[in-house]
Amino acid sequence: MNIATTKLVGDPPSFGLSTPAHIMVLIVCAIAAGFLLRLLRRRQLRGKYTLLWIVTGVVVLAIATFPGAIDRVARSLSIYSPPNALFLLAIAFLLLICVYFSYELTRLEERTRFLAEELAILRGEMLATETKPNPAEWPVTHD
Amino acid sequence: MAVVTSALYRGYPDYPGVVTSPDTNTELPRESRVRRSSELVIIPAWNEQDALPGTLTELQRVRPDLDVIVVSDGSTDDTAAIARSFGVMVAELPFNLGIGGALQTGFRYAVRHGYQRAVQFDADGQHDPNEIATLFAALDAGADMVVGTRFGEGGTVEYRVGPVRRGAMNVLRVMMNTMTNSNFSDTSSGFRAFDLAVLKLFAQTYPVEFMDSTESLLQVCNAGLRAVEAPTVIRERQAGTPSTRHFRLVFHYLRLIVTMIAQWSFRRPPALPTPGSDS
Repeated sequence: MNIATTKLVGDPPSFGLSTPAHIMVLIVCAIAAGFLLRLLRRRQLRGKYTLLWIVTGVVVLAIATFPGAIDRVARSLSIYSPPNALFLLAIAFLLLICVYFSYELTRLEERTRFLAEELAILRGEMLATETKPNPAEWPVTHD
Repeated sequence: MAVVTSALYRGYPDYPGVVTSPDTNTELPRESRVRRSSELVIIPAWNEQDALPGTLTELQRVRPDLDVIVVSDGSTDDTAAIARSFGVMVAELPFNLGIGGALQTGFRYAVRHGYQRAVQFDADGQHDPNEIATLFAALDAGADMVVGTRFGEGGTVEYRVGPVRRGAMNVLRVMMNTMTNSNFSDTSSGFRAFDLAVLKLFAQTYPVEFMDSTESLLQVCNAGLRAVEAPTVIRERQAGTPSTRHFRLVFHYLRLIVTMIAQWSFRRPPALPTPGSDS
């Protein structure tokens, strides 16, 4: 996708995109943004996740528009090849997102489990009381 | 939404879009004794329709004084209906949660209904109801949790395990004993008794993944409660298949070790330090 415009000899090469690549990135970003907004409108994606991906898209767009930024980041991190700096940051970001999703999953599983347990108890109690002529005879102490 | 499997939500006929076979037995027998005692037997059961009648019959014959809750852990067979026909409390989980979730359902029920003690009892007939007295005796002696062990002296070694599994269990045992500064001979037993303090702890948080017993033992010790073991007879399984496939076992074994180390490294000091003693 990205084409280094200088040869990989001597000084760190400058990192830039050709015009067709620029246009491609813009189109992909626009499509992705449209898709995300569609999901949001259909309530298939929570607002906070849409925001997360929109912001990610904006960052990608900014990098595509100003490739010089990555050059500077790479130089400040002493990374020889700017694309490697980009990959490093991207992978770190994606890993963080994965950990965050694991956390969210755990929380969701916990809540689902709690609900299932409560449902099982309530349903069992309901069936047990239904068949009793007088519920008062079934001493239940609620804390 | 299409019906994935009608068995998945068995017992929940109102679940939208799911067609279930009608629950044939929701009536409790006349002499139903759902709530009578202050002591509860918690029986987690996952597809145990073959073993459950024998287990419940024996339990009600030997210990008619105890209340029973059968937690059907998303069973797709007639486990819940069979349990109900014995007049015991039945909690039916809508889907399979694993042993931890099934047990916690029992713990939560016990605490909510003011039970003072509870016994965890296997549905498959491994445990002898006569041994419940052994566990309760240890609770009487001041323990908060009693583990009925397989290999302790006095306990009959009728239960045979392979060398690999035995070795793995030994590693766990040594880790456990080092972490809790105690001397358990078997940490994975599913025949246990709990007092109210432990029930309240477990009703709030209980390890929900496989190999829950070792993890929960560590949890009890870390909470400053007293766990002991009592040698008991554990029989061969009557029916059903052991819930242990090798791949799964190895995964959960490693997971457990990581969890134990994490829990141990964040352990709290004993809840009530004894005044005057710095040892």
